[in-house]
Parts: sequence; structure tokens; C-alpha cells
Amino acid sequence: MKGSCRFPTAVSGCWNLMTETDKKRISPSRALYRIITGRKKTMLTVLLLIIMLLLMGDIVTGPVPLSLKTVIRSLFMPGHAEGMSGFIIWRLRLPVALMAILAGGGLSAAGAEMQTILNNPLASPFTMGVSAAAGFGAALAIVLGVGILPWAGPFLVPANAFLFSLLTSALVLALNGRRELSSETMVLAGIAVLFLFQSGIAVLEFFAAEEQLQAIVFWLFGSLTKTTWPRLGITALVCGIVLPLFAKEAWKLTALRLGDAKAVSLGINVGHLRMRILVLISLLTGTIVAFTGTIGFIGLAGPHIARMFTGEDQRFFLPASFLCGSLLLSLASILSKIVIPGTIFPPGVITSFIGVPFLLVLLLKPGRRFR
Amino acid sequence: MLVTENLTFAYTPTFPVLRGITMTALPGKITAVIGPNAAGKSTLLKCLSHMEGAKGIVRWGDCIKNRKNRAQWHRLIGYLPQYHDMRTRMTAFEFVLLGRLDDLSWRVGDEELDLVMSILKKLGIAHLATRYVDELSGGQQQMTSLAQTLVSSPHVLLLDEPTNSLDIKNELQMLDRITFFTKEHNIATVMTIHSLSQAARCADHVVVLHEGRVEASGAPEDILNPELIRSVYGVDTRIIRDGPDYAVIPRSIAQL
Amino acid sequence: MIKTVLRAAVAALFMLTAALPVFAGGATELQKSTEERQAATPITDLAGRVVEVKLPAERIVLASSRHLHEFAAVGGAEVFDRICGWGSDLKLYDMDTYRTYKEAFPQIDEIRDIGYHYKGTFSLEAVVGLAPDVVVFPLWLQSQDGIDADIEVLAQAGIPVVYIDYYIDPFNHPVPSSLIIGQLLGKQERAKEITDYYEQQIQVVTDRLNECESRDVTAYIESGSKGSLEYGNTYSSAQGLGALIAKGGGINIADGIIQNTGPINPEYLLEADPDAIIISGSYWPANETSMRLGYHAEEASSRALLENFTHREGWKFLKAVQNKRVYSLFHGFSFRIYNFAGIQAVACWLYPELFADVDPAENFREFHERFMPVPYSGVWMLELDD
Repeated sequence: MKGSCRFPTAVSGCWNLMTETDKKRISPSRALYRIITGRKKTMLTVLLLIIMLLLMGDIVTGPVPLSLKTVIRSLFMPGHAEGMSGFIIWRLRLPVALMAILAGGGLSAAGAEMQTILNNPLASPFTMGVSAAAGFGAALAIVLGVGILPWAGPFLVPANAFLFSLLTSALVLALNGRRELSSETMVLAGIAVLFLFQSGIAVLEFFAAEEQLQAIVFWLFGSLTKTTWPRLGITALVCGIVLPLFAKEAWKLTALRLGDAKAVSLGINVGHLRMRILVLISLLTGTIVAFTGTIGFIGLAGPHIARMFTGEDQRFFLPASFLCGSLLLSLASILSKIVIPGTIFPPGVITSFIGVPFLLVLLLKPGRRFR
Repeated sequence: MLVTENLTFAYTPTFPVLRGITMTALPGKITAVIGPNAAGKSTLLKCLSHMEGAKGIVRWGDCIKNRKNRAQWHRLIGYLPQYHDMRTRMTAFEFVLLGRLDDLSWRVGDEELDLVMSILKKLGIAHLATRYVDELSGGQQQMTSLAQTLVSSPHVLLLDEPTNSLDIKNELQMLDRITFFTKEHNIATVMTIHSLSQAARCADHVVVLHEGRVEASGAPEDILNPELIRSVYGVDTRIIRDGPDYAVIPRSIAQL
Repeated sequence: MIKTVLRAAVAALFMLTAALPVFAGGATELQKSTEERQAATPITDLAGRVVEVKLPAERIVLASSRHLHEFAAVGGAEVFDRICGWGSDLKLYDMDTYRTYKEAFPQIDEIRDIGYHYKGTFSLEAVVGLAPDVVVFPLWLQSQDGIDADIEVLAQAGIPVVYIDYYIDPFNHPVPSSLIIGQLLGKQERAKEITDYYEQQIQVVTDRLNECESRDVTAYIESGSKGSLEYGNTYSSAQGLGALIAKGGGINIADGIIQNTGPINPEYLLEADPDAIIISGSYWPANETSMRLGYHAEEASSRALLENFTHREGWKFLKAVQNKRVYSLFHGFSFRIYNFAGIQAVACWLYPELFADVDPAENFREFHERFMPVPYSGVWMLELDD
């Protein structure tokens, strides 16, 4: 029995559906497909251009007034970067501006995949309680000076935040047991984890001294100003590893949107896929959150904006989500510097402000289905 | 041909659904699986397609479905579930393209695109190619789903209530296309259907499921008679045959 | 093939970002000229760090602008030419003082606001842009997350940071802190004058308390910021105001109950029934019934406000209220250079016979007139009993 089993292979099983008229040199189906994908590619290009403008804007704005000429000279001819302006641009502004792009993009990409694997438009990278866990880790470090890695020293807060974010995915997987990972059970497990860590934060806040309390609050607000070049490098590295791994599964992830039954029948191991992607999401989110605190709404809004232009095809949706997230956070970063002159408003608050009306517009737009 | 031997399946130990199903589906023929709600029809299709944990044998010719040949097995099968979410932001073309999942790489090849186009034409929905799936009518959506199932060139087509919410015209078109493809490409089609009349009209072979067992199987004219229907469904009916037409008309709930 | 190349390109782009600092071409560090380095003198700050600062410092940034009290005392009027930027806390928490100084020194408005760490708005860039000779940090910043990174960046910009402290240890640190301020401003003699006066005033209290046999007077101290309708924070002996009680020879009823600071449980207060009650006062415009003391306070209206507190529910049963041993002192007396006045006030109120000849209000006025560049005015301590 075993040896005689020969499944029909794909090639031989492929029907010859094409008539003579179909076999032209430039196939009409390719032309049609170009129309479909063309507008997505255009969108990506436009997004990229906008982001470059915003990046420039981010570098030009700040408490110390610097002329555009000074900025350009300093950026492109670093040898001539004069004293203080050069220091401000290269040491203070450029890392922050680049972090806005990476963190915004990373959070949005993570959000895109979260919405994909959970099949839920309200999912964000923080849905699994990741932000609550990271906040708890940070609060633990701030209040008790206690961390998972006791020798972490000045890196205690970010290291703790990161490790606790990873913990959430482990917890979700553990809570799920040996059952197949479905989106419903993941959401439930995520809510349980969220409440667990939120109450943990509340307990820590209760025992905290006033300065510690303020520190926790501001950590939870999120901020880009603590960015240093090494932190930027680590974030870039993690993005550079995780995003291609997302891209590798692009078609499978797109197929997830067809529903579990159809996806499984197409040969996708849905549970495994969810688990792999969840781990990657946690890694990416954990890294970003460790360095920027919890900046909300980008992971939720970015993918939605992207989806309006590119649809669900992950080959376009994923990069578009990244770019939309970068755009949002870059914009928030610029706004946070100019909204109250002289002070830097926490960008996390601004993203919420932008996000709420945006969601309302989405909800109230007539005729459009919410997905 | 697709054969099941004593297929048994239970979701939980106290909830057995299939209790030893033995049936055959021949290539080029439509096999209709009928029976009351909760008889196990959908579960049967799922077990044939992708679900794990069933006891008994499911085989295609000499190849037995098991954990190891999962990858090859699914290439054999085209499965259309009863309930599926069409609320995704994709054009019909992209939607159907997804059916060729195994052969898609980052850059989609010409062959795949041509296949999609051909299927769309053959099902008469080519004009919907650039329309978004969530904006289509029910009938159009169902046809698109069928296209997605067919585009992978399956040898077995498993359709779960394909005409469920369709109006009379769409229903006719759907069954017509299913029949066309079954005959044209020699597919073993297994279809669950709740309309006895439609089952009688288009099926070559009928399997009647009742409480997880095969109550009867055979040609529709041999199987579909008022006595069987009464014993399985608990309904008194009148059957009218007029040439190729076949109508099962319900009259009243049976007195037991 | 293309796929792999594309992916490699994307990954490379990200790695490149990580390597960007290399291209910064040294712009990430400001080099000091040799002359500048030669002019720098090593100072040991309150955190025990040895820092090289150009002395006397011409351009100073205060991370906490409430240090104005101390800098004005040591430096006099000319501090306003030296301070080029400071934190937002003076305006936020001590508007009274700000207004008083503004009357005498209108240029106070031009001092650049650089944000405040506690509020999360501190702007490194603004500080760097001011190119100061030194930045002064309060010691409580040291335990804040990310503060080392700030100091690091400032160091790379060639800006030294010096820690002083009047908050964490308000009784042992003011003297060395004031001497450091003296060094920074080039006013060492004046600083010594102030610290001598300070130590002298404290000595009076410590000496007499040491002779005293029984030190069992209990007291409750509360921040009057929430007003009479709501219980403000009380402080254990670990925190500024709470420590005043211990220094004044009393027993703080909050010890053992309150960790650092927090509102007391009213039932516990009624049960503990302290001998004396002290409500701190300041300028808290947000709350109408809050206790008001400071430059622009008036005795009559402040006393009325204090009396409101005694009308709280259940307070008529407290012996402190019945004996009219309810007092108020300036909130800032715990962590300013003149907190000796607070210690003396508490000592006088808790042990009136022992300190009958000590007049803390007068001592404070003397200090103010000798050392502060603005005229003395207002009410800084108060007794309910006239």
C-alpha cells in the first residue's frame, strides 16, 4: 500500500484552461493584474516620499531654532558640522527622528500582523497585554529596582520591559494548552494577561513614592527623547530580522483572512503560523516598547489606513502598514515639539488625539464596510 | 476515486458525529450528501478535506489520508466551506489568486495570472475581476468562492451547501457550473445540499446521512422515495417526475 | 533570486542605520579647547562625583528652578545675570516666590524654561542650546530612570552636571550644598556666612532637646494643599515635613502607618489623638480652602483658613483642637536653606516652656533680611491661638 501511493503532482494536475486566444505575448491577465497592483505600488511610493519630507521636518524642528541650510549642511557634509548645531542634529535630533520612523513603522507592522492572525480589526500589538506587561516590567524596575536580570544596571527599565513583553506571548501560549491556537482563544488569553499585568501595575503604583509614580506615568505615556544611537541600532536590527520573516509568510498570512476552515484546507498549519507570528510580534513590540514606552494607537490606526489603500495583499499591506506607522509617529513627533512651544508634549498623547477622530471617520464613513 | 471506509469522528468523547461512514465518490460524477440538520454532513466534508482526529480510512485510490501526507493531500482537494467571511478588502481577482497558494511566490508568475483569468471567464464573472469582494452580491461572492476553489485544479471538490443563500437564478448558474467542471475535468465532486429537488436534479449519486450513519446511497431515482424521506426527515412528501425534472414536494409533518 | 536580493537589501538598510553614528564624523561629541579645559576646576558634588567646572560659572542652568531660594541667598541680585535657564517648577509650584522676585527683578521672565524632569518635559536640547558652564541637578533626580543618559549626553556636549540636595536629606545636606553653590558662584565667603548662621540656629534646638528628659509629645503634620474639605498628605519621618517633627523633638503619629507620604486614615488620626497638629501652608491657588502662607499672605485671613481645618468632622474631639495647639508653617520649610526656621517652630510649639525664648519667626525674618535679595513680607508661620 505505502509504496504504491502516488499523488498527482501539481503540474500534471494543472488543467489546460487556456484557449488559443489567451496565449498572447503580453497576456491580458498580466495587464489586469498590473492595474490592480499598480495603484498599490503608487501608494507605497507616495508614502515613502511623504515620510522623507516628514523626516526632514522632524530634524528641522526643536526647541533650538536651526535653519534648513544648517541642517542640510550638517547632514550631508558631516565634516563641516559645526559645533553645537552639529551636536544637536547628530546627537539629539537625528536619532529621535529615525526612531520615530522605526518605532512607528514597527508598531504598525506588528499591529498589521496582529489584526491578521487574530482576524480582528480592533487588534493592536498591545492586544495581548503586551503594553501592560511591559509597563509592569518598567514599573517593577522603577519602584523596586528589581528586574529579571539583576545586573542590568542603567538598562534595568528597558530590559525588564522587554522581557515582560516576551512573557505575554509565552503566557498566551501556555494558557492555550495543547489545543490548536484559534483567534478567539488568543484574544481571551490576551485579555486575561492584560488584566493580570494591569492590576500588577496598580499594586506597584500604590506602593510607589511620588517621583516613582510620576516616572511610571511618563513611562506609560511613551517618549522618543530617550533615544540613543545604540538603542536605535538595536531597534533597526530587530526590525531588519523580524520584518523579512513576516514577509516570508506573506501569502499564508493573506490566506488567513479567508477564515480558518479555508486556510487549513489550503494546507496552512494555522496554529503554528499564529504561534510563530505571535512570537515575532512580541519580539518586535517588546524591543520598541522597551525604548519608547507605550505609544498607543499607531499599531491600531496604521494598518487601517494602509488597508484602505492596499487591501489585504500582505506583499503590499505589510510595507504600507510600516510606512503609515512611520508617517503617524513622525508627524506626532513634529507636532509634539511645536504644539506647546518650548516643551515637548508626549507623542503618545498626540497619537491618541490623532487616532480618535480618525477612527470615528472610519466608523462613520457611509457605505464603507468596516474592515 | 475518493473512498471512505468506516469513517468515525467525534468532536468530544460524548459528542460523536460520524459513526462509521462508508461511501465512494467517483471522478466525473456529482455525489450529493443529504440528510437532516446535524446529521454530520459538514463534518463529513471537513474530515475528507483537512480535519484531523477521525478514525477509519479516507483514501484517494490507493493513497490513504494520514498525518504524513498532509501537504500532498490538500493539493488534491478543493474545499468550499458553508460559512465563510467575504468581508476582506480584496479584489475578486486577488481573492481567486489566493486559491493557488502553493504556487505563489513574491512575484506572481504569468501562469498563475492566466489561470485565474480563465477560471473567472469560465464562471462568467470576469467582469468582476477588479471589484472588491466585500462589495459583491451574495451570488457573485459565492461564484467567486467557487472560482477560488477551482483555480487550484483539484481532483476532488468538496462543497458544503454551495447554493444555500442563492436566488433561483444564481442557484441554477452555480449548479450548472459545478456540473460543467465536474464533467469537463473529471473531478470527484461531493456536495452537501439541503434541497432534495436540486439533489435529485443534478446528482449522479446520492448518499443519505442520518444521525451520523449512511442511511442509504445510490442513484437519486432509486433513493429518493417518500418512505425514505419520511423515515429520515419525518416529513410526508409527494414526488413528481416529468422527464429530467424532479420535484420533491413537502406536504406535512409525518404522524408517528 | 530577486526576492533574496530584495530581502538582503532591506536588511542591509536597517543594519546601516545601526552603523550611522560612524558617519557622524565626530559631530556626536563637542571637543573643548585646551584653554577651556585649563580653566576648569574639580568640584565634589553631593553625589560624591568629582566634576570639572569652569569657575566661577558665568552661565548656569538649574534643573529645578526652586533652587532660586538658595542661589539668591548665596549669590544675591547678580544671580539673575548668571542663570540662563531653569526648570518649570518654580512657576508651577511656587508662584508666590516667582511674583515676589519678578517685582524686584523683571528680567526673571527672560530665563529660558527648559522643562521639568518630574513632569517629563525636560529638554536636553534646550539646555545644550544655552551652552551653559554648568547644570545643577537636585539629588533626587539621581534615581530617576534615564538620568544617567542625560548626564552622558551633556558630558558629550562638554557640559558638566553638579548635584546638590535640600530634599533627600534636608538636615545634613543643606550645608555642603550651599558651600558648593558658593564655589560655583565664586561667593565662598558669603556661603560660609549663611551656613554658619544655619548651623548656629539648628544647634540651639539640638542642644536643648538633648538636655530634655521626656520627649514624648506627639504631633500630626499635614500638607494644607487639599484644603479643609479633603485630607492632604501626611509624611512619615522618612520625608521632609515628617522629619521636621522628629528634628523638633516630637513623635510623628504617621510613622509605622504611612510609608513615605499619603493621606492619613481619619479614624486612625482620631484614635492617635496627637498633642499638636501642624498644617503646612503655601500658595496653592487651585484650591480655595488650602492653607495660605508666604510672601503675600495676611495673618488674619490665614488664621481664618487654619481655623477651617479644625471644623473637620470629628476634630472637635481631638485634644489638640481643644487645647488650641493647631499651627501652620510654610510648606517649603522642610527643604529650603532656611528650614532651620521650621525646626525651631516645631520645637517651640511642641515644647513651649523649653523654647520660650526662641522666636523662630523673628529668626527667619533676620535671615531673610540679611541674605535674601528681596524684601521680607507676608506670614510664614502661624498659631491658631493668638
